[in-house]
Amino acid sequence: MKKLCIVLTSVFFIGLIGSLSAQENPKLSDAEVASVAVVANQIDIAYAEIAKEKSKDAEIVKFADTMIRDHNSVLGQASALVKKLGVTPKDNAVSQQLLAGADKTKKSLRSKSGKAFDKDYIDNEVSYHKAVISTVEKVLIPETENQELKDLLQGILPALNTHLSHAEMVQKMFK
Amino acid sequence: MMFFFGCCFICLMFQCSSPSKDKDDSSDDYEIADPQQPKEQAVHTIEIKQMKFSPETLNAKKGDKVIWVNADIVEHDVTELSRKEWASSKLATGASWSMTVTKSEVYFCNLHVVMRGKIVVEGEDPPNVVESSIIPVCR
Repeated sequence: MKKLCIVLTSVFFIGLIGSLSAQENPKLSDAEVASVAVVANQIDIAYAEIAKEKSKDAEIVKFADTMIRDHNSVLGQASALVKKLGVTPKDNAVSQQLLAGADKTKKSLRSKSGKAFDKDYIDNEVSYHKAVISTVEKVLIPETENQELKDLLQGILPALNTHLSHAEMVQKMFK
Repeated sequence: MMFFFGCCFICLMFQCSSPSKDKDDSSDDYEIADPQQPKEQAVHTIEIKQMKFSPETLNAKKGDKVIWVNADIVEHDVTELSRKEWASSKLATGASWSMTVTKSEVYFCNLHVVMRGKIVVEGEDPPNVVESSIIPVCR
């Protein structure tokens, strides 16, 4: 039960990547890719807001602050781009599955407190960022047709990789 | 006799005016040699882009000016690593911050602690990176 939320996140994303990668033809339109990107950012902001409510650990709170700041920045850029392109993010099965998985993770995180919460939160951040990086690289970028949207997705990868390294650094404190 | 005094007067005038010119010349020399006079300051730019400081290692001289420019999609800062002796404020996209080099330094982004950069002053050993100064190893 301790790592249920992490396992759920990982299993979901691995399944998602496997099923989408197996498709020969793109299954997501650009509007749907935009929706997935927006939802993925919003989910990590939501996790960070829970961490700010529940954690008293300075490094956890600092990491959560960075997630809120950076993912809001990415959302701002994504929002400006879809407006420019005249694309409206379109809800789709992938976005809905992401949100459903996030609901379970949030419930699990909310049930923890103290060091148990800190450990689960940062463990989840490591697995979530690994999964999101894979999804962006293997699914979203290949399926995007518009070059500017593709460039935006490629542009956020360094930030996601840095978040992952930062999360792994903090994770070492809780082992 | 008048000719003699005339020559003496001309020589005297020449002697009197000559030091003034020397003074002017020496004044010019003095300005060039004055160690207090600021020399032309070299300026280096470090771009922050794709979650990296570029160049990651900057070779500079004492007194050079370094400007960090945030060309990234997220906010960053620039903070001295070992004891956080100096730090910029948060730099939004497009913002910049500068400082004058006084010694070799290792710095990082305090918002994204895995981002590192280094300034190596000519003639000094490169500074050592102390990992434990950022985050304690365990709790």
